[in-house]
Amino acid sequence: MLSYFANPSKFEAFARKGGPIAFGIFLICTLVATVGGLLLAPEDYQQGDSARILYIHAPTAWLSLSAYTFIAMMSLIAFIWRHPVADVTARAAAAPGAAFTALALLSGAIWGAPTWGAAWVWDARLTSMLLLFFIYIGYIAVWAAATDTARAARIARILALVGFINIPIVKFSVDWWNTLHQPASILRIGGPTIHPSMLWPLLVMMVGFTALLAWFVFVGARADLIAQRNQRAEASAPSRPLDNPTAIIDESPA
Amino acid sequence: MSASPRFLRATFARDFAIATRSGGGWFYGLLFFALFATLSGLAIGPERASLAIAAPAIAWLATAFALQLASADCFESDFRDGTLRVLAAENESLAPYYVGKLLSLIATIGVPLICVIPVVFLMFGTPASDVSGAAALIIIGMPALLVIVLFAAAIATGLRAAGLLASLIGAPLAAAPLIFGVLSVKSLFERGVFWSPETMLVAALGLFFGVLLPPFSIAALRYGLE
Repeated sequence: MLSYFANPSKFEAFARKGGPIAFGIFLICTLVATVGGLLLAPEDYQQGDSARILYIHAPTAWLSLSAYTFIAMMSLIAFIWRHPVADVTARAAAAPGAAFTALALLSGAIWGAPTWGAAWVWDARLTSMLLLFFIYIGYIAVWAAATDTARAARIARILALVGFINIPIVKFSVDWWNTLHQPASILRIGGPTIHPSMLWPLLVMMVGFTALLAWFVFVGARADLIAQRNQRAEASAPSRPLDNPTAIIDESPA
Repeated sequence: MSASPRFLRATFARDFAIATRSGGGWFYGLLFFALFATLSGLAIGPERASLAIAAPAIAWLATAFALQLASADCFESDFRDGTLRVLAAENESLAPYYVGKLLSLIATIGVPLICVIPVVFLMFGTPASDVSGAAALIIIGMPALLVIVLFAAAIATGLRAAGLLASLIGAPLAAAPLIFGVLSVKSLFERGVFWSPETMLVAALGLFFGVLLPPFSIAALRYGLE
């Protein structure tokens, strides 16, 4: 599979098909989960309806971590095998990942203000999440700051790999330190501690948001590959007789 | 590989000479450290109690920023004038070059900082008996900070606005040593324990980053050239 997708045009064909499918899954899942989370699931016995922001907060937080993990994996693949498409997909996941991180922080702040009494606390989970946001920005900045895309890709790979050390810190911060943020209640040893009636909309929402990320990556990577191809075509094209007016007149519709 | 020690020595000697010659500006980082501490003192106000609370954080932040600034364009001129390309082509490994840079950074900014840190602690109202311990704690944290700022400099080499970009890359990595570094100084002040768990963690982070970051920095320098 790795070598199959090393061919950009094969990946593009796959992304052209996969994109709409991913977007469809996103639409269906978020619709179902919205109904399930807002109408069917019971309200929290302590927090009331405010706990329903969980259905946005947890999926965005989950995706901010998985998008970075994806970037790091693609960077590793690009680093070892010099895979041409891996860099492109890693880059495409960076901006959505940063946006999901910002959304997780924002929804957390909106949730924290009434329930904790503070929109922001200097807690290990929140702080490491904020650092993850800055790592995303640094990664995007490296891509943007290089004059030559191939060089940017090589440097961004290394940065993505080193930045990955923050991911386990974010994930396990709630277990390692005594934080105000609650410990993990889904992916934990001994099974989830959340009631099934609240869990299923959350899981469906997570599937939907993951499909959204996949759609972003498909669209972003395709756009990037097309831009690269156009750039190459421009660089290698023989000089066209643009100063010959008849060439333009001949092609223009009458 | 008998050339490696010579390569290392030559890099160190050249960088040290460039930094310390007239107009070399080796003391800019030190001056920044002093200015940062002064401005923080002014911003906090003359109250001794609040100054004493802020002292560990200010000393650590000033150290981290000074190292960051002093190292930000560490590889930039070598990259721009092609020196790095020649060195990478002529040598099997850039490790001696990296170590030479690291040593020259220690000599031109690390050691001067260590001399000035006790003064800052004194100015912020730390009891004289605690000053040497607090400075020693920052020395324990310096290896981690040094390899982090060199990694950020290596990543940013040759990119636009390299100096500023390097601080953007280095700062999130420096968070862990900073957190535990400040806590280690606080535990020294409040409980009189030098080898607190926080100190151990700072030392461990130094070892962790010391193993992890140099290979990545050298790789960034080399792959950035291709």
